[in-house]
Amino acid sequence: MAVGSATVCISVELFGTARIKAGVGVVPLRVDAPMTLAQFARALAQECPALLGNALCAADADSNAVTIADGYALNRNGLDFLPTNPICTDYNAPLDLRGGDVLLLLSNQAGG
Amino acid sequence: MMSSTAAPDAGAIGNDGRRHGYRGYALVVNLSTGEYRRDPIAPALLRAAIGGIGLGVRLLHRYGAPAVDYPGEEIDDAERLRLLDAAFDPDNPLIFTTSPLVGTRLTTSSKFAVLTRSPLTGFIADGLSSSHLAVELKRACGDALVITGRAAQPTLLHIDTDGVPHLRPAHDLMGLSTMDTEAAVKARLDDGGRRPVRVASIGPAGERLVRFASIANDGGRQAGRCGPGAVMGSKNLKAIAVRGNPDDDPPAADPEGLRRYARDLSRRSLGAATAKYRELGTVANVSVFNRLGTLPTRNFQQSTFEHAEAVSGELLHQTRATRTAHCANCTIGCEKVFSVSTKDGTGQTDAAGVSARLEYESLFALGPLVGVGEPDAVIRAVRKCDELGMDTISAGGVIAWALETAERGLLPTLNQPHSSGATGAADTPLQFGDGATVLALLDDIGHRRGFLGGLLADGVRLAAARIGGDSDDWAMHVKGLEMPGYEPRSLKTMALGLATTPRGACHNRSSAYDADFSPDVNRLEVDDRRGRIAAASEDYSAALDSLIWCKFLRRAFGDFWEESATVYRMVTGWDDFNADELRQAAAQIADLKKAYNQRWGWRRSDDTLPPRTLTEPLPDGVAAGTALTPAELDGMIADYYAARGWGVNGRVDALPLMSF
Repeated sequence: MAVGSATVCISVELFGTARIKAGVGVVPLRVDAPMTLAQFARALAQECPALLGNALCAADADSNAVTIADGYALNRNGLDFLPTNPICTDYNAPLDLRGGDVLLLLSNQAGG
Repeated sequence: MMSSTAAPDAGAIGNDGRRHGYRGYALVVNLSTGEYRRDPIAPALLRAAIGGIGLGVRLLHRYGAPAVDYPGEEIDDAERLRLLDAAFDPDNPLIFTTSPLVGTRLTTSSKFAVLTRSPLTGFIADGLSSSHLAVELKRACGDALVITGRAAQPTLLHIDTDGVPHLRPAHDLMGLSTMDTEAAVKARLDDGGRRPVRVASIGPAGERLVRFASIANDGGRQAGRCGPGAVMGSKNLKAIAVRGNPDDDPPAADPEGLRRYARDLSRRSLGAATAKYRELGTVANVSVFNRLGTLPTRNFQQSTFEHAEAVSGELLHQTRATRTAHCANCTIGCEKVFSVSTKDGTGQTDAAGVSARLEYESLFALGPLVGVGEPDAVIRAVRKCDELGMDTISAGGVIAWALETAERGLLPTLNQPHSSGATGAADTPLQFGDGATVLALLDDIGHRRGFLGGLLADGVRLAAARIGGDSDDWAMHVKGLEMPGYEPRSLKTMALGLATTPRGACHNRSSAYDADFSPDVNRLEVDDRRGRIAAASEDYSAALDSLIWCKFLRRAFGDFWEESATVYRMVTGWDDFNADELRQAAAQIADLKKAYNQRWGWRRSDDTLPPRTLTEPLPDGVAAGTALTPAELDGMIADYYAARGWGVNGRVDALPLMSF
């Protein structure tokens, strides 16, 4: 655990193909807070490897870094959409998470 | 049929003097007189219009009935009804347009537009549909098929490879479902040795002028919204059968460049940007929208549905027999056909194995909106709408209104028997959540059978006006068009899009919801950027709908405007066409639609939302307590008019290029 951080329990709700691939609707996570989007993505991939290649993907060919895949969005507590676009998002910026937070992993396409 | 004019030379319209991308004319068929002609369309107009919706709205201005003069500011109910019924006049044209991309084999490009004046809204009806019919229309009819007049008897319009329209009797087709009509027409006209004819048809709902009747083609695809099927029915036109000559496909100016681009776009269309549509289809929206408090439920009384999981896309895919359907030349395959049979075969509930294409909108409208959480009931209801040829959104919307109206005591809780002796939904209780009642009501509406069938077949606005009381307070429509499945109180940008889109409450001509599902805005609050965002979203849709690309491809583009302009150059050979010109063409479409609506009595008060959305906060879900006030909506509308350059009254005065 990093200095000045605390371990908090959050959960990740999966929607669409992510839910089907993972075989579960909710993934509980114990994570350090504050943490970065990159750290969150890696923690989720470790807990739920089935998401790799689907909602999560390798950030680059040369490291173990993981990102939210293009085509997916991240929403906090059903309210705020978080920046995840791999082109314009700083994956190392702090992600403001609190214990009990629920992150929704869903398609970024809302067309019906 | 008699031709009153010689067919014009399709024209050399590319910079290189060759005909590229377009045919250069519209086939105009008068059902009253039996005459037809081919009207040239000037290259400059084609370039300004692009195609699809952009071309169609110009043709609607050109071939539509003369403008109506309104000296007063407001229109009373009697005059409104007269205007709505005037959509059934023979001089209201029914227009099919194609686009320069049709026939190129670019993924998702086999699409066409259907335009007319709506008997549901009184304003522009501009729908899209897709697949093989688009390709054959362009080959046989040119850039557009314009149908005017009214046939003296039930008619099949048949246009074969020579491009000559024939009016054939269709008495034997009357009463058939859309699917059976298509099959019967193909059986009659196909000779076994050539390519099949492609068919557009109406079902019983269109024959009976149900104001939200659709036009079906290619095995169940629908131009659904605003009642084009009712206009087709008013013309005594049961079906259109088309088979063109592949030799008439206009060549691309840069075929090799286009081939390379097409391959690359197809590859991108199979990437992450379209994964949702490929893998689950739009039904994936149900669980997401429910979680975000934006799933309209029980006639917009709630924004979450306690049975959402049962009708969610995820569960449907896991439990139902499913197959994927593709439009012609489409790599995405968003259409998921669900069966009432369970995946393992153990739960099959009937021998017929009823199945239906489920989209989010159909699923929402005939599920949560009417309180039905049983998947089989929804599948059967959607199938019923497709057979009858009715828009599922409007059908669900008007039934949801009836159920609430019955709950409030303004309609009998038991549907009344009627003099015809047909039972229909008679004696079925009107209450939310009863799939059998919904199915029975759909059948009654599609046949205009009984008191409720006749009442609801006119759409929710007229039904509420007829029942009175305060029932228009919960009549969920904009400009007479029933609301789609996007809760405006928790999607503030979309609220503006729904209020201002010319064809009424529409999620397709404006994609303003995109902003609400992004970090760019706070979807629960209003700010002064929404007017610009909504206008830009509408322009983006107008470009997509004119070229015509499928909207589900939109995130597969890099820079959409630059890329589309490049494709347009490769197809047409107009080498000086650029992204700015495309943007300008898209913006002009909004002006032309508004101008068309103004001709038919549009008033500032038509740009609004249903009273419920402006007076009642959301009661449930993560957005509980969220409201949208009339002042907030008016502020956004003012910003939208400013972004459009329309001034405070929202009117457009100057029209773009209209010379044909």
